Amino acid sequence: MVAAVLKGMQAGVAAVILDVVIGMAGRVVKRKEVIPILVMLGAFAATYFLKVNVMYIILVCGFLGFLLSRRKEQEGAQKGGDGQ
Amino acid sequence: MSIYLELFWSFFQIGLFSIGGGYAALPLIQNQIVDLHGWITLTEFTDLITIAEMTPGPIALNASTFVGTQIGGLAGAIVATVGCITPSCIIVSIMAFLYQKYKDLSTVQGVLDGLRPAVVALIASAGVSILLLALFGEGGVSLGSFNPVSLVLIIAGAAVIRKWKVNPIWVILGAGVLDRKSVV
Repeated sequence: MVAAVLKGMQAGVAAVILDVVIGMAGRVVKRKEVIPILVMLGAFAATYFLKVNVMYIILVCGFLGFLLSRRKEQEGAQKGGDGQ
Repeated sequence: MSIYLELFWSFFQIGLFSIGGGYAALPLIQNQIVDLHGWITLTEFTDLITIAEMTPGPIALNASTFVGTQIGGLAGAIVATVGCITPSCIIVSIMAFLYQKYKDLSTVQGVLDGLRPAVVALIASAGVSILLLALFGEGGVSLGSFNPVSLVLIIAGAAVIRKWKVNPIWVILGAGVLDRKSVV
């Protein structure tokens, strides 16, 4: 009985995650920056199709974010140190 | 390696890498628990999300207690749960210390900004597995096993959450009830 109801709930769980993904992906796309969108597509391909370990993807993307924020800071400093 | 060490180490990794909170832990849990160790099936993983949604506390924490109990009883539950919270305890303590000292976490912010799109992709990947499971069952994708009721429930459920911002748990429970009704 419990198993049967849980089975029916799979569709509900799928719907919830579908909504979460639509919302989060929408926010990334709305920023209209190329790199985050490419990172998103690349990370999906890496984990879903290439079966790359999730932890490597997180490490690589975290490091990428670190490099990008460094570059932004340097650009900001050159423009007169007004931050971003 | 003893099962308790394996449990601890698995959930330590989940705790360490589930950055972004909430659903961000799903792909990691799936990776470790379903794909790598085979401790639970994809169906049980989906049930686990349902149970985690119905109980207080973050999904990763609920998952560790749930899987720990299944694999190693009460001791397994404790080991897995402690494993899951240890990394964040350590990291947040260090962060709090650094924050007091420097109060400038722009680098950390940069790392988190870089992670955000990746986290979306990882959740989407776990989502596709669950979507296919709901649509086709455990046998894999084939025309014969396609479940049109699930498709309707998924689209309707997502639309209801989008439009009226209802609590996800009602959509999950509603799908369970409606699916039963359509079978009987």
